[in-house]
Amino acid sequence: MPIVSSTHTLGHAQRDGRRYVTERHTDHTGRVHVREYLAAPGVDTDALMAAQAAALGEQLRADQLTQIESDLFERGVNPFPANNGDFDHVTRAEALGWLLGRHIDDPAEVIVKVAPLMAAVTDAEMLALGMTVDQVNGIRARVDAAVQIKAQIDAYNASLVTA
Amino acid sequence: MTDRYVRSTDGSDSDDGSTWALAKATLAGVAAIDAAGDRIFVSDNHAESTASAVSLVFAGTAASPTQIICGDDSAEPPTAVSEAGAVSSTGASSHITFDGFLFCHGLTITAGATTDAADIRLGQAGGNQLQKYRSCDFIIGGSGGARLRITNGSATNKVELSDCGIRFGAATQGLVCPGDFMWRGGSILSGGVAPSNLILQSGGVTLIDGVDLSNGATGMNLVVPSATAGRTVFRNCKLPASWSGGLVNASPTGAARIEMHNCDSGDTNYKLWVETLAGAIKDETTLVKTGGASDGDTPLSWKMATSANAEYPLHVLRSPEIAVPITSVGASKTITVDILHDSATALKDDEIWIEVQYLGTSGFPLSLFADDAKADVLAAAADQAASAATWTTTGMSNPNEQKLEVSFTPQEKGVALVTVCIAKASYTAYVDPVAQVS
Repeated sequence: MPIVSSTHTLGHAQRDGRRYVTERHTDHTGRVHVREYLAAPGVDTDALMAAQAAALGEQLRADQLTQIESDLFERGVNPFPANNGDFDHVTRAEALGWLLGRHIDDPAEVIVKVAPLMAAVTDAEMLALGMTVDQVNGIRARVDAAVQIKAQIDAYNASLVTA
Repeated sequence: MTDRYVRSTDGSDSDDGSTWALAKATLAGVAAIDAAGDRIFVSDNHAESTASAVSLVFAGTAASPTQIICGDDSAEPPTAVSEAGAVSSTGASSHITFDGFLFCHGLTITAGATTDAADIRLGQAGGNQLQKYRSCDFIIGGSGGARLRITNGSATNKVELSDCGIRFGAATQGLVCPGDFMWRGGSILSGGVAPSNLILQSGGVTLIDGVDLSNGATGMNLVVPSATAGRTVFRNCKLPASWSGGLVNASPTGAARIEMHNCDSGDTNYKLWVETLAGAIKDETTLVKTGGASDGDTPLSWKMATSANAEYPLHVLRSPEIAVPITSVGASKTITVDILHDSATALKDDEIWIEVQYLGTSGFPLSLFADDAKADVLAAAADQAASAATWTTTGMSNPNEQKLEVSFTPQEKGVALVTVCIAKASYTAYVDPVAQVS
């Protein structure tokens, strides 16, 4: 979970008894996420803080996966961390597994965009996600085939230009 | 302009869609042949389902938009609208996309089944599209990665939902709207999974008016500001019961301004909440000025709390505008706003001030501006004036009452707009949001 610590403080009571609560959630990168809400009397603010930390962690992860997908498939931007490292809130293996789950049946020219991430993820990491050996081999073969098809398409297009 | 017909029960995409008897079977079938300005009638018995992505590019233009109207198919053309038409998709990545200038009434659009990662995308392509959906429902499949993407293709697109419902399939789903988006009336539908955050990304102007959000999670946050720019405003919405969510899930880090006016899970009519990079503003009902602002029953003030980012002259926390009617001209007027803070040290005029926009040009509606900030960025700062107003100061160690004053001479009748500005970092002041005119 990317949230490593959480604290909260209570404000003074409003006329209707509710109080503003300020939560501070620190993620593993050191960034502090401050959230405020209005708590009714008797609300378990500790429990809410814990739930919010979990939800925030999941949202950070989901947002990063969505951004990776958008960068890769829609904006044509390379989202991969330098030196094949992990992303802030997801590992590269998790990102690959998520992207494959959404795009493995797409046309070759779409799948080929996943190829750089495939190269940065080991078979052991993919098996750790729950894939079988056959699944890992099958996915690598499909991505490799997509790369070859794209290369052929690019070569053909280049020949049209020179012609 | 041509009327075209779509009915899945007995239609065929091989037919020309010119009558109910020759109806197309799918919206894709009619989108393949439509022309700008066409009316596309969808039968109230229409229920198409496709096991793949559905990409609908209609020919409507700004001058001649497409109309997609679900109607009673007992008449040709229909004489009564219906909300019974359905378009759905199944399978991973079975996104449903609507593009083109269009108006759509009465469709239920469902992307993906229980675990599919399938978006609904409205205004996906570029081209400054304008789309309006009325009495439609949008149901997103169960994968956490799926989104209702509105104006996703271009920040210059604009989409309006009028009396529309949205149902989510996973807690991490939400709305993505980088362009201009208006949702007026309607609700988060029951029967799905309550989202943890409603707006995951916004860019232009997002306005959510009169929407029943009570089927959101009790702890639902309304906006994720990390991916938000522009201005997002909620007005007159119903929030989940015993709502313990935040207007934002974390403090804004960019240029976004997120506002919530008169939204609550209970019977109130004065709630205010603003979040910006420079700080936040909330309604306050304990630390209030005697004889000051009130909704008629509940005295109130605005708690303006700056963040560490606040700094004169750029990162300033600005209050909502206070409108002051000006009914006589030619003579000097003074606007006064009372404030309270907890410090023995007075606030200076580079820390807190008011700005007044008034009609100061005779014969033209050209406004002029006056403020009681220090004269310029290099001028020495001076204390703002002390005030004789009485406040409830419960819990304060050094309650300090001051006032902000601006004098100006209006030349035209109309409305002067008053804004309270705070630039002192990590500080809290309470503002009586009544601009007194003398």
